[in-house]
Amino acid sequence: MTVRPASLLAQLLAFGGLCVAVILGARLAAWAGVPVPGAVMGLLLLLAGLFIANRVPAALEDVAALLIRHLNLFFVPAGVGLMAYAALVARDIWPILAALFVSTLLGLLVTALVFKWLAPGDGEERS
Amino acid sequence: MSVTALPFAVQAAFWVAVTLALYAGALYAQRRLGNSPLANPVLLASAPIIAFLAFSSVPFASYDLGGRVLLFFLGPATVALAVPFFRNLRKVRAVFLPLFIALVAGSVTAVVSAVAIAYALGADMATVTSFAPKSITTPIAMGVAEEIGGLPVLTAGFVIATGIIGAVLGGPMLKLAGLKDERALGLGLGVAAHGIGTARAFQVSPVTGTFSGVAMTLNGILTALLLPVIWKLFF
Repeated sequence: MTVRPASLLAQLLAFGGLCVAVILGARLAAWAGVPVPGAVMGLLLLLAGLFIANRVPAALEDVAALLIRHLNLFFVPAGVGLMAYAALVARDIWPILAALFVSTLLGLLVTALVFKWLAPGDGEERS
Repeated sequence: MSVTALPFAVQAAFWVAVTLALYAGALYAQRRLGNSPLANPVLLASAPIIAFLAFSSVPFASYDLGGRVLLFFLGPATVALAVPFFRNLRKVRAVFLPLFIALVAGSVTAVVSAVAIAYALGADMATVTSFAPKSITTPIAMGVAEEIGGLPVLTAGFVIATGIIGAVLGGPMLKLAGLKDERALGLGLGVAAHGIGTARAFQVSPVTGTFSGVAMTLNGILTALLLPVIWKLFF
C-alpha cells in the first residue's frame, strides 16, 4: 500500500482517462447498435481493464472517490430542471406518490427476502 | 445589470459558482441535521435556485449554461463507479449467486410495480416511461430514460424521491418483517434506493454499505443493458 497521495497531474490524467472511457463506451454502443448509455459501456470497459490489471492505480482511486463522494453536486441542475415539469408532476401527483412508495418498499422487501431465503444465516459466520 | 446581459461563458461560470456554493451549504446543513436522508443535498441546493428563477425574469436557459457544465461530469462519474465495484466485488464473492438472484428479483419487482401502478392510476405516458429506471443510480437512470424515450430530468426527480423513501423507511420495514441480516438490508437498500440508500447503509455498518454499493452498481449495469431492449418489445 502506498500512503503518498497521487500527484495532481496523475489525478488529472486519471480524470481524462474516465472521459475517454465515456467516449469509447458511446462509440462501442453505437457500433454494436445496442441501446445502452455510453457511460455504462465506459464503466464496463474500465471494469474489464481493472480485472485485467488486477489493481487500481492510486490516482484513479483518488479521482473516482472524489467524483462519487460529490455525485450529488452534478444532479443539482437536474433538480432545478424539474421546475419545467411542475405541471406534469402536479397532474400525476397521486399515481407518482403511489408508484414511488409501493415499488420502492416492495423492491427492497423482495430483494431482502429472496436473499435471506437463498443465503440463510446472519452473515456473522463468514471468515 | 441582469446576469443575462453577460457573455455565455461568464453566465455559465456564474451559475457553476452559485451551484457550488449552495451545494456546500446543503452539505453543511445535512451534517448539522445528523446526515438524515430527508435533508437531501440535491433538494436543498436546487430549491433556492428554483425559487429565484420562478420569481425573477432570469430564464432557465441562463442557469442551464452552468447546469450543462456540471451535468458533463455525470459521464466520468458513472465510469468511476467501476472502481469501488471492482474493490467490493471480491468481498461479496462467497454469496454472489444468492446476491445476484435476489437483486434480479427485487429489481424486476421495483420496475414492474412502479410502471404498472403509474399506468393503472392513469398517469401520463411520459410519467410512466420516466418511472421505469427510477431505482437505479441517477447518472445511469438518466441515460436509460433517454434511451427509452422518457424525460431524464423527471427520472432524476423520481430517482431521488425513491432513494429518500427507501433510505428512511427501508430499515424500519425490514425490522418489522423480522429480518435482521445486515447483508440483506444492504442489498435491499442498494437495489431499491441506489446511492442514497448506500449512504444510509454505510451508517448502519461497513458490511451493509459494501453490499448496498455492490447491489447499486450491479443493478445499474443490468438495468442499463436489459431495460431498453425489453422496453422496446412492449412499447
